[in-house]
Amino acid sequence: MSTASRFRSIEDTVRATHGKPGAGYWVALAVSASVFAFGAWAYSLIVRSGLHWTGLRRPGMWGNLITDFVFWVGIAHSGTLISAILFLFRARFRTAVYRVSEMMTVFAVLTAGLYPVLHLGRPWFAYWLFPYPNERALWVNFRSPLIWDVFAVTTYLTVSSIFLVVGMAPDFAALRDRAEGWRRRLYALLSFGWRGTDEQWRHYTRAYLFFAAFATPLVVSVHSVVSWDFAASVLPGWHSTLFPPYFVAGAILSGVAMVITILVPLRKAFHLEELITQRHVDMLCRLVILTSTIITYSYATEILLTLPQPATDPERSTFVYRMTGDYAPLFWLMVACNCIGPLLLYWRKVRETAAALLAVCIAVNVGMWLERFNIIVTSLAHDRLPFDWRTYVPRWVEWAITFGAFGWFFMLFLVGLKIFPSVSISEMKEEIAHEGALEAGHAH
Amino acid sequence: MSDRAQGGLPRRTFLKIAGAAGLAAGCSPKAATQKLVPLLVPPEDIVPGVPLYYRTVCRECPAGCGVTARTREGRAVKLEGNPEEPIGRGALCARGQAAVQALYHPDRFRGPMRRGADGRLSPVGWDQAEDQLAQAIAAARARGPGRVRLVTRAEPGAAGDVQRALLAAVGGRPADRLVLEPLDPAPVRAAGAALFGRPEIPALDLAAAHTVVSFGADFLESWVSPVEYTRQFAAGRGRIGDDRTRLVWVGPRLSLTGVSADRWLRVRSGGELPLALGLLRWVVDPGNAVAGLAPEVAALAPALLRLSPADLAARAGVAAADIEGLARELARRRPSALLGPGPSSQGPDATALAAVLLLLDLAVGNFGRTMWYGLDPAEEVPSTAAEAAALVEAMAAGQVDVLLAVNADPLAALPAALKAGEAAARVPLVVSFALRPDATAARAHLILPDHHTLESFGDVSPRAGVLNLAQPVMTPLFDTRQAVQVLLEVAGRLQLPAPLAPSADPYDLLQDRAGKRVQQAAAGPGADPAAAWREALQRGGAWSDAAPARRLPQLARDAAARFLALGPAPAPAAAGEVDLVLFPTALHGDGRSGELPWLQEIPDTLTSVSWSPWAEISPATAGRLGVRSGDLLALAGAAGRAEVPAYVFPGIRDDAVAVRLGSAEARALMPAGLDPVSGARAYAGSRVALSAAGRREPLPLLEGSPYQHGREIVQTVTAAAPAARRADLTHQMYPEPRHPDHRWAMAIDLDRCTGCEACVVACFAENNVPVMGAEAARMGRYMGWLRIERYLGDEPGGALDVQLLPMLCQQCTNAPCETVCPVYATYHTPEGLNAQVYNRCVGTRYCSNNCPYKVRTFNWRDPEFRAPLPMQLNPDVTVRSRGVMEKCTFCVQRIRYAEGQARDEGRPVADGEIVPACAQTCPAQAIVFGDANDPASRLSRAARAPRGFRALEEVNTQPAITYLARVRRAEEP
Amino acid sequence: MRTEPGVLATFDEPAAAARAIRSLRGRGIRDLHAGLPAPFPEVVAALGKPRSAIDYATMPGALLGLVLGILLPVLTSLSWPLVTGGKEIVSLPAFVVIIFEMTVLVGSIANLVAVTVRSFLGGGTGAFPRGEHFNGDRLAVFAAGGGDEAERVFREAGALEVRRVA
Repeated sequence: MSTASRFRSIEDTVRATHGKPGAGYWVALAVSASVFAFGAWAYSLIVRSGLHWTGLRRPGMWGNLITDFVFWVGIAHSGTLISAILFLFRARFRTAVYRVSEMMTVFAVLTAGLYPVLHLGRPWFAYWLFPYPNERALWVNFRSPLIWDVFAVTTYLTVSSIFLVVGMAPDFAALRDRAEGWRRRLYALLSFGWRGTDEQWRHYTRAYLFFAAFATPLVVSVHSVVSWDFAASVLPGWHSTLFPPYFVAGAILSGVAMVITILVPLRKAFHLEELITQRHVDMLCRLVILTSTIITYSYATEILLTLPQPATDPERSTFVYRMTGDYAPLFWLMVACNCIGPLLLYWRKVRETAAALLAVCIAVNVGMWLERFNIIVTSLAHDRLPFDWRTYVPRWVEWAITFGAFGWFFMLFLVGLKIFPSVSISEMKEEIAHEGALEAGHAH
Repeated sequence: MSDRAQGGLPRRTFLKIAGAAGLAAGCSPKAATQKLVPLLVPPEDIVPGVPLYYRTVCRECPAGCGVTARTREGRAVKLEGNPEEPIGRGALCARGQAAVQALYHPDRFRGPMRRGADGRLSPVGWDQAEDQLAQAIAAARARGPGRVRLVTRAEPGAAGDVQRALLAAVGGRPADRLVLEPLDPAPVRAAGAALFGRPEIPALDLAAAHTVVSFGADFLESWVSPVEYTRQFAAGRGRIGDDRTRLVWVGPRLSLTGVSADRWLRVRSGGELPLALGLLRWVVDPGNAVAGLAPEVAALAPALLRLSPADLAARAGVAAADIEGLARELARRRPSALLGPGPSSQGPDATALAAVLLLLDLAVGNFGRTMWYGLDPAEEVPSTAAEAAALVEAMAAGQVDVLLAVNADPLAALPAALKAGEAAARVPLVVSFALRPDATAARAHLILPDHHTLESFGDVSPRAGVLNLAQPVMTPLFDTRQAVQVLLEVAGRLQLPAPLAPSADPYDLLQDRAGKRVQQAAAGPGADPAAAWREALQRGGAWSDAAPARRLPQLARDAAARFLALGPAPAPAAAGEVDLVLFPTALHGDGRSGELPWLQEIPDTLTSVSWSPWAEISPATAGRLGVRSGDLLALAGAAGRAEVPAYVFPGIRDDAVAVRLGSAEARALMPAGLDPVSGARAYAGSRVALSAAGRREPLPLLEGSPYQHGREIVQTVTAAAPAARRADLTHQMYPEPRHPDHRWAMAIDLDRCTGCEACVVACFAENNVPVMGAEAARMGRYMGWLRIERYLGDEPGGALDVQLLPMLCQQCTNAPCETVCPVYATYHTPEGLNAQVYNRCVGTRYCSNNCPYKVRTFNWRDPEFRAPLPMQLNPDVTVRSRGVMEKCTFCVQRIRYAEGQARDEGRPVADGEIVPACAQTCPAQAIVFGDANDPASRLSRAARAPRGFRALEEVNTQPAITYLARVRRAEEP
Repeated sequence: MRTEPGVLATFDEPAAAARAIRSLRGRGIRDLHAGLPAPFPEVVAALGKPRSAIDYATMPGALLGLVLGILLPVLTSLSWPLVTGGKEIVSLPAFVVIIFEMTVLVGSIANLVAVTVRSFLGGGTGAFPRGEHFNGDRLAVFAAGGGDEAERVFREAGALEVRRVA
């Protein structure tokens, strides 16, 4: 089979994903859109009459919404990790899967970015969190981790969006050349006049390398910054130097799990099997196992370091409370999902049966959500003054907003699938050409 | 043209409509009254933005403390004590502070009302109403004496005279006037009368007492004159060693007063008398050779020695050693003061208890040193429960034609068992002078709403030599009329031979009585009586410093004998039966002002319950019944039954259940029984069957965990170890920020704090803290800036060791809340305050998460102030809107005001010039505020004390608040 | 940029294209341009053009971000010095995050601008013939100013088609 025809078949497979959507697609889109709409309405209640709709109360001033924020920022990580870091490491298996995970990244950041606004008492003043010259002659407090968040998240959103769009330009060009109607116009626009001359490639590849180089430390930084929201406080259970690496590992774990959760049905639905092969999935599973073990180690460290303290130590008390108190079931469920579940991926059988693989990965996502919930809620519920201890239980409005975010995310994703090339055409071509070259090399 | 007109509204039609609309708008009455009338001659005493103070008197309880009312733009905004007045000395209790909410209560009657045939109330003119009343009285008068009855609160002043005169004028007997003061310690009067021929409540000076023993007398909460007693008691606290006043609490339940006690003798309900007898017996026992005994008491030895100590101890339910130990202390630490009974110990033998206590006081020589007779004017002795019962009987028997309820609500105050409501139904004309709907007004045919005290003239003399004057601090809000004026006007319609008073004007009345007295007192060569009267009004009263006769009691021969015997032992409790303990609290007293929003919203100190009644049971009892706090308990007694949410409280005996007085539940359970000697209500001495109702009604609790979990948050010191533990903070990352001018700081003496909540109410009033209601309280969204954290001990099930910690913003130097705020809504001011800028706040709530003290409250929703409550709002303090954080500001508005004044007068701010609301009103003077930069300030001196410690100091927040550790007693030998 | 006349050859194997380029350059025909569906390294290598100089835009951009990242928090903190938490007004440890994020942000944007100028919006098409697109299954090599010799070389290298572009 000649290189050219294999090039063509790649394009065909990708263009097939843009084909007329089936009933299943419409159903999925309708469901996610309506879930999102309900969440939006539920949130409007808060805007109209205040946060008394939530289950929040002193000392538990943060709950579901902040948990969701950290969760989605976490999801957003794998994308850049896979596309940037693995690019620098020249990990070949990345090529097939990075486009999907990059899309996931951008949409996840778009979701996460909502929450810092949503959880405010006066969301209509959210723009005060940005440093801009104003009539109050007042700037923002750069010592506040929340401002660090603002910078980290906006930067991350900008860079990962650029990364995605720039990376897609050559593919759009390829699609443009074979598309008609509005798609041709749209792709012409999105390809930014790409013609694929060696001159363009020469600068493009270089620039792409730099983007990867920028994005890599960014991935590590963003979730470290998010973890500082907690680590920089004085609250027992939050105030920990372990948080940054621990959060980054957790983010990657949840992110990769989410990539798999999306890839497995995707490649079935769009018949991408020969582009996204079992090998790719296996590699992702390895990532899951690796990060899961890091997480397990972090949990153990945290707990084992505090247990030797005297029983009166608030830090210790908080961890004991986390494991045995009101929220203990959630803690142990989290351990099961994040520490034990992923180990199943050691077995090829589990990796290869879609259902089992999905189950493990979804469990990991549930577990990672619970991890953030446990860190935030149990620590707040068990501060230094016992007289103020109180538990927090989310109300329906918060659940509606939480699920609404999933609706929003999948809505974006489903639309994106029909417009963006969900596998990188040009890089796949390069791969194939390479293999060709290798074969030629062997022939000598 | 025409076809265009067809499309939309024709031009002409439009113009017509517009014109008509404009005309209509012009004619609307609203528009007609829209006139701007320039104030040609402004009242010179009202300067916008400048507070104007009036002196008046508090009528929330019989103690009669002086009040300074702060008014702004003609509206009373806050009540504070009157520093010149000898009873309150500038302090005001929680209930006194809350009086201003009765003034602005949304439910207040807007004018006189009459109940029509349909049973509905409809407005009526004053003249009609008074005519109707006059006719009814005239008719009743014709039918003989006792047909017109009047129920009133204690009115030791002109109002009382008028009431008596009116009744007398219509041929009534003195008994026709019922003075309703349910918590009046009648047994003390009765015992005084029996022993010494003095039916008085002795005046106390607890500051002179080395040991105070309270037999159920909650003198730090509601007993007789709590503010005065708290001040006296606190004077002896805050020191280490033998001269520190010690308090011993005797009772089946640990009351808030008991929390201030160094020792709690857990006698069983009704065990107070045996214990007292045991003490007296030991003291007079020649074998113990107590020196300096009053001979007349020593003479009682033979009678007392017949009692067996073991038996007494058994009856009391304590160890004989405890009785002996306390007796030794009384013999050693003189003078002392033995107080009682109070409601929780006032049983069928209350007079005997009172008598034995008086004998003890006499024996150890307390009279003349800590207590005196002769200062109780006894001019307005409250009626006894027996008289109240008689009135209800007469009403039920149809012997009453007219019932006047003046500032009293008999239908709510009397036990449900008396069925006063049904009796009232048989009275043809019930007249209520209530300010707002209450149980009596609900059955009244005529409602003649009285002025609030802050709108009235009047005089109160709670003690010989003390004359407190009430005067209006603002024009009346509604079409109300002062009760005394109404009575006089009604009298005027009765064609009496002689008028009761020169005029019906309350001011004339005041001048006629109090005025004359003041002017006579001021009479003399070179004196100006008129000026003296003016001054008296300005100062809020006239107080003769020359102490009136302080008499020592003479024990009447053989009078004591009848009290020295002990009645038959009470029958053992049936299975499931426990003693019922009814107790008043500092926030609710006898319940007469119980439904005021602040008093409902602010949690009870001991249980942290708000907005709900509760029944205290011991953990053992709870275990037996299988209930937790919040499960409904069914209490069934002889008087009646009630269902109350349980609160599991280690501070109560296993054989008792306690319910707060003033609640409908307490009323339902209140026994109709009396103490036969004094005729006082026997609140104690009855039993109820206790069972789980099987339902749950979660209590609005402020507390999370009531235990310190070994964290040593609230420290205590002893004579052996007089210094508090301090964290080592030598290693600092940054230099401490400089406070060039001032560093405002506070010291709170936990050895003085009694947890009376007066500071909390003051904070609500001063800072417009919103009342959010029961649902919010249940949800844990209490908005108070200042809360009193109460720890019951170290670990659940451990020893009971109640500690109080008033918790408010610590104004930290290294405030964790500041760094995390993204928008600078909170920052550290150069004067050391942790400022909270409401209009910058976006509501991330991060500051609260990072506050180790959790003293920041969040506005979950917009607060609601029902009209006319907004008139009470302090104009100097922003009312916060939904979505912003708030917290204690150290009353920054007061700081700024004082600084401004000092600047105007070109002088530095004087020490003690700035006083936050909480410190201002503290009856125990436990809170000291001042400038930590000035080493000579009272604050600095207090904070340097070895007892000083800071909350959670190890977190290195460097709080501005220093707590002075509570002093634990060195164990008695 | 005007299109010079020359010879355009299309290939379906990058290796073939690379061979052609090398032999052309060996024959002194150096003005060569390629149209590639993917950045085939062998072809790019064969063209032997210098490495992209885009660094000179990106690096200064990152440095500018660094400077801005320092100036923004420092100057704004000084413009209205508010003490929070007893920390210094200029508390650099807290600003490190801002500095880092600004560096990355401005750096990436500079990089984007650079690549846009050089590779997008019609940039970097050089002498490659107008209207010729090779993003699909073929790749093309254009010998600007090439003549019969170029044609012959292309055919030898196994070009699918070879044509003259005027």
